[in-house]
Amino acid sequence: MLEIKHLNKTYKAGRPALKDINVSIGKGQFVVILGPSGAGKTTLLRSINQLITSDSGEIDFEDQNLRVLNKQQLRQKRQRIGMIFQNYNLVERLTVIENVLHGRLGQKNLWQGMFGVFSQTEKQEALRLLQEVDLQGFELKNCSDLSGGQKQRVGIARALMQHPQIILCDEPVASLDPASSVMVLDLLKKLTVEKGITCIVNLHQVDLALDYADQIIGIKAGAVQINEPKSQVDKAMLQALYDKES
Amino acid sequence: MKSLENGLNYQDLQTQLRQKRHKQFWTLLVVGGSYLALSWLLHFSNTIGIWAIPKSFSWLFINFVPHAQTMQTLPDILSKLLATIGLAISSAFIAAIFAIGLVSFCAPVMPHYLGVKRVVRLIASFLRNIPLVAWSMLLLFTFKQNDLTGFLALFLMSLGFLLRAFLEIMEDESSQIAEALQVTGAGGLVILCRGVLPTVMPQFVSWILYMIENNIRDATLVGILTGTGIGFVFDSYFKSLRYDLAGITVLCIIVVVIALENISAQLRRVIA
Amino acid sequence: MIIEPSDQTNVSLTTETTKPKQQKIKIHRLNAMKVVLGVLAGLTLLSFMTMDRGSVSLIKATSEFLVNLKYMFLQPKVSVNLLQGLSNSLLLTLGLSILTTFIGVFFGFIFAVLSATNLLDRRYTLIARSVMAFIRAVPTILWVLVFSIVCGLGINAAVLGLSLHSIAYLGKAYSDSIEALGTDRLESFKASGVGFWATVCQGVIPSIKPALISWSFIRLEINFANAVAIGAAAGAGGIGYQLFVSSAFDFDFHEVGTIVYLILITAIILEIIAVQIRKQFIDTTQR
Repeated sequence: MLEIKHLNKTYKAGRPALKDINVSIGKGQFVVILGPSGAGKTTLLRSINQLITSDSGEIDFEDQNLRVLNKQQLRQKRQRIGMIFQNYNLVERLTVIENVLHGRLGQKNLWQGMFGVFSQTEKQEALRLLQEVDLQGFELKNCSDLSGGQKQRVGIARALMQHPQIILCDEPVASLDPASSVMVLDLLKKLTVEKGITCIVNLHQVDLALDYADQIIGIKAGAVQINEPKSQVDKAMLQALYDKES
Repeated sequence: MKSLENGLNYQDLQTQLRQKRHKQFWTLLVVGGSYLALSWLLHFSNTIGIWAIPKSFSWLFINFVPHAQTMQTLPDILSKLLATIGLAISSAFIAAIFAIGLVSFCAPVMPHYLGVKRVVRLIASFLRNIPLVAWSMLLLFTFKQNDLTGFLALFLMSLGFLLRAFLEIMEDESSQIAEALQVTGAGGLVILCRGVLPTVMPQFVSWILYMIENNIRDATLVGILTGTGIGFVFDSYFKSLRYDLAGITVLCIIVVVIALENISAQLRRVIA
Repeated sequence: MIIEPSDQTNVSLTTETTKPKQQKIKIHRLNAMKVVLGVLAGLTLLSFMTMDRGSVSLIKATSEFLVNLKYMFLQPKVSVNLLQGLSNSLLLTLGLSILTTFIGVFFGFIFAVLSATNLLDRRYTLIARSVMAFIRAVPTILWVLVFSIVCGLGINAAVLGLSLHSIAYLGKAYSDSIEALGTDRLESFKASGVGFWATVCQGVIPSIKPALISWSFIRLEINFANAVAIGAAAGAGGIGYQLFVSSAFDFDFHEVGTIVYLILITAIILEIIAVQIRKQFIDTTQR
């Protein structure tokens, strides 16, 4: 459902960030991107929904190349791709339920969006999603009063509010303690199994990756080094991925 | 080998320490020398200055003491004081509205925001660095001697200050949240209203509170120059040698400024 | 178990709320910030309603104001004779602001040490703090006027007034920076038996050097603006006084324009210097 073909990206300094990336990702897969820091994991993830504009190649999602869409078309496609962040990126000053409803902002017209007007059904759905991420009762709390794990679950609920086909997760558990990390990853895994949503996750913990992934993509110096189902990945491959010498 | 290394390090250390001491010595010499030179150039007499401080304070405590008659004028002073507080608040608040409008164009989700940012920064620097005196006199000339003149002078100053402060906050705070709402497919204005502004607003409010405090102090200056508000009250009593009344006016200003400082400190704690 | 009537109504209420169709789902929350903004908006409105606007026609005044602005900024003019005098008084004002900043830095630091709760007992700090709060609450211009009674209008009163306010301002700023150090870092000095002023010189000053320097330059900027202002309002001389004369007595807005440009350029140069120095110091501390 997501095909990345010959994707290239060079930063101004001239250092290639992504070199000829070719990856194919299926529906309902839990895909983990691994690699040493600075290898280009984040760049790859962010080029998928065009937060970073790449130089050349194709990103095919739902029969369209995201790289060539105009602004309006891109915004429509973005509604189908959720994203969660390492630092949660919630509007801390607003309530939990308002943050969840923000997932719908892309479908609003200008005035409804600016003033945050949401329908009764949308609010009900937000409440249901909060139940799903185990945050019932927190609806009217300010996000600034939540713990990191709770904030990340609000982030997931916000992404689900978009009815996404894919959720991109940029280091979703890097700022969390082990227990919360497991809870968040369990939740994401459940989404792939029960709702058929594809999750593409940047991780730096190899053990967690092996626990959850269906498919593992290893990136080193901007190039794909591993692209296999988890069962095909062995220790030697992972060691080579993190080895500084080769 | 090792001892040699240690010896080298020890020597390095010595020279470094010596250099540091040299630097300190010269800094002190330059600062002290320029202080004396400046005093001489400006004809500032340090001896007169030092003596003036205890003299002034004792004068202050003898002459500024209110007596029974003073209290009759108090309601008059208080009403002017209230009007000045009103001016300080309204000028800060209206300036904040304008400033928020302008910095909104500098949010990272807005088109051409880099270019706009440069223009807004220029406006801010311009407004802030034009002396309050110039604004006051210019406004006095056309709007004449009334509260509106004071309001406008304070407004223009506040606008300059708030613009710079808001711009910096916007730069520091808004990019992550803008990104998070961008991925939902929302447009620039929507992201601004639902994400960026709610995130930066508490810090903006903190600045508005600071601006109000500052405006009360500046209102005195503007008042003396333009003949409005509490500054005018003080100036006229002071010049007509009614020091008891001038004293009570200053006392009122002190009470208001300290009260405002404490109230805003409390509010900041609640908001943050 | 006895069910009281009030309990029953509660139960029926909650069952009703679980029927989602009728109940409007709340998503916003009233917070302190909204209340503050609301109150400020109300006070602004009240102030506008009671404001004495005089009998000036707003449209006429505004257009006149804009014309004068045009004279000021687009057609600044000045005679050669005056320019000599202007540059002298600009230097006087600049010198005044530098001199008072020196005094402010020196005594401000002493006051800061005396009012830092992590260095001294609260009994002493409270006194220093109250004195500084008192001095800061009185606007600079009023201090200058008070000093002018004892030593006459002129440079002495201006220096004293500006310095006093600088001391109180920098004292507060510095002491906040000192307190941000916390107690732990200074305890090692105390533990090894270092004396009080040695601790201050060897422990405190090096740690807060960037803050000291950036606050001092911020104050220099403020002092320049204040020096202009008191020149005008207290007749203490300098470029501010020239500005006052040409705008209040001569009504020559072309000349005012020149003076404002001179002040503007100086202020912006000061600002750039301050920003550069702050940048340099932040860089070196990060290295």
